[in-house]
Amino acid sequence: MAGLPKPEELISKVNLKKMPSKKWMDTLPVEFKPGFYCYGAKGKNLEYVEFPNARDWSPTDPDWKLPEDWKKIVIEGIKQRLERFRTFHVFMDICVRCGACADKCHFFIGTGDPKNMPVLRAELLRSVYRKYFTVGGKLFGRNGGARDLDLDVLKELWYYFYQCTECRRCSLFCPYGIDTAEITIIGRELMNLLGLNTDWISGPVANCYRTGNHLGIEPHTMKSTLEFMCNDIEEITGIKIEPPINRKGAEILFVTPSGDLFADPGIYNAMGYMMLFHEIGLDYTWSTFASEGGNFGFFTSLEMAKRLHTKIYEEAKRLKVKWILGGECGHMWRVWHQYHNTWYGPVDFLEEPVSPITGTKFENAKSNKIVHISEFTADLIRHGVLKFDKSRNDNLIVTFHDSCNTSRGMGLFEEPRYIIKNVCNHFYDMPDETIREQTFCCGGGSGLNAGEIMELRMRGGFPRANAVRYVREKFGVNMLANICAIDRATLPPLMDYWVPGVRVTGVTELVANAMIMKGEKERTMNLRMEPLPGKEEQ
Amino acid sequence: MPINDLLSKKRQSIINKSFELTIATYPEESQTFLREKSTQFTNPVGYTIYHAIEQIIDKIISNEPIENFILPLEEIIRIRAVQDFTPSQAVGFIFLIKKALQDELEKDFESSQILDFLSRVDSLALVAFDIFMKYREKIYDLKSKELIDRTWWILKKYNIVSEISDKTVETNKKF
Repeated sequence: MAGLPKPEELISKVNLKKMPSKKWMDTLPVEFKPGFYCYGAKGKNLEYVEFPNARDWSPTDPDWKLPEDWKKIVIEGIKQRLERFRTFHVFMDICVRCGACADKCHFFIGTGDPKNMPVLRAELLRSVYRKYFTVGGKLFGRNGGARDLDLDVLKELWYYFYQCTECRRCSLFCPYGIDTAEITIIGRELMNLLGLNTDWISGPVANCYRTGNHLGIEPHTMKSTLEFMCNDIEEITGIKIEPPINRKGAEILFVTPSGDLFADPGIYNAMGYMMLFHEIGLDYTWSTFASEGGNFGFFTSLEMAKRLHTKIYEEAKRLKVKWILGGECGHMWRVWHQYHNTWYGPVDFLEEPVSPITGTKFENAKSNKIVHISEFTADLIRHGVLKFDKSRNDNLIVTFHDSCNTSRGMGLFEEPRYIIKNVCNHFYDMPDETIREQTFCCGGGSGLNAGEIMELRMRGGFPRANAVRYVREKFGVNMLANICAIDRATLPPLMDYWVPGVRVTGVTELVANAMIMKGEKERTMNLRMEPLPGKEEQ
Repeated sequence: MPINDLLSKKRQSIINKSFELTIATYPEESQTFLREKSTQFTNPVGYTIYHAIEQIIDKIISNEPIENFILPLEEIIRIRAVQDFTPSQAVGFIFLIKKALQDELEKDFESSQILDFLSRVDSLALVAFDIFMKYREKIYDLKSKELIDRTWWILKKYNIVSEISDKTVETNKKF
């Protein structure tokens, strides 16, 4: 029996020394455990969009089937990006490793894995940069914080760049303004050069390139889906809506993520959009070509992101609309706000958006000509255009999750809250350090909402869920509202695990439920076909 | 003096030691951060583990029945079930609590008394394993549920599958 360890020896390092016994560079190789990494891409999906090194691969395969000169490709890739992106070059050089970002990442907070500290995640790549691009790194090697790029290092880079949701919470706290998300973006571009994509990202990218949306919905399917929704709307409200599709000369092109067309609870939001537009008589159109607001190409390379984004731009031109209205989505807005103008310059064939209902000129959208549905709806409410029966939402005690991209990417804080307060009687914000610009990620952004990494999503989403739990215990919150399709996909299981009893909704669903429509019958059901408060027995 | 009285006096030191040992199961570089137990929203792991351990120790001291331990055990195990631990590491913190208790007791009590008292703490490890399995099963449940939620709606809409409507059930009841 003497050979058996004591339990504490078995489970705990019990090293109470203050200094780590191993340096971070000495902790290779990375172990790929189920639940911690996404599945590798399928060759056919990479080939479809002409991505390099197209082949089926799996991260657990000892042989990643890399090109012979893979190391040269990565180093050349770093060089090109240092020359092309001033930010990347600066970010590689200026970090003083103060650690202000270290404990701000939801993955670090949830895992305690030091390589999830933004500073160390970036250092994984910085150490390679130093080795090949700085005098200090070349001269002093490891003592200068530099290391060779070998296969174990490559695997480590891949593993941790796919454990970052590019949420940018860390960048908020960096005294130098280093945006670690941009380092992840470049890191993933480098992986893309070797065909090291994930299935969950490359599948939607190939689909989007083929059909215009991530889910591969073809035009006739999109049309019938919208019609199915309109049948449900008719059953609930008595109002028949004909969805306008691919209509040339419409004033506005409406674009939303395809998750709103097929996934629960996004579909209720899509029904909400159509009810809202019908009620105000908006001259708009859906497009079966620009049928995706989201852009998974953004998680592979900027060129691919631009390729996928082009369809919205071209479709607006083809349909001769005046401006674009965008639905509730996260990274779609990051792309529009922070990349669109670099790619295309100010859009010259569209007009500066003006609400045809209220006359409000959206000056913030002067350059890229796209208005967020929350800005648009908040403006309608502000002008008293819409009538609401807030009591229809009285069974809901609502809190609001700021999506990373719309909050830190474009500063959209007030509009969704203003809308919710106008359509619901019970609204409570989560604690200050977990909302608005300091919001915690859902744990599944930037293409990390794959089913196979449920464990990673649960621990990455724990800080968010923990704050929801607080308002649930304090105020009885039972509904988590948001304005992002990825949130609507990832938050339901997150709530189910950490805060059972809290459901998830888009903001427009709440609007549509409370909105009194002209000519509607007495409503007894909400959009989910559940009885409204007080109508349970009818 | 009964064991529980001594433990009451040493309560804070036992809690601190149990917490310290549990945090020591995390990577060394992260322990300083996780040890910060007062920041509920920016360090939910450290905060939750500390407060759950506090409750477990209090319940041990006041001889509470095993059902009362389930909630605080769930608080910790639900976190560790999705972190980078093997199943034994995830639930093994019970033995660290046991060690913290033992360290306080061995100066003042006979080993047979200590053995009898601490063998009850072993029961927590058995319950902890049940809880760990519950949350691991939950993860697999979430994976399958997510797939169904993403596809079921459209299968129904296209009449590929159909469900018995509530109305049909009511009509059948009449006959």
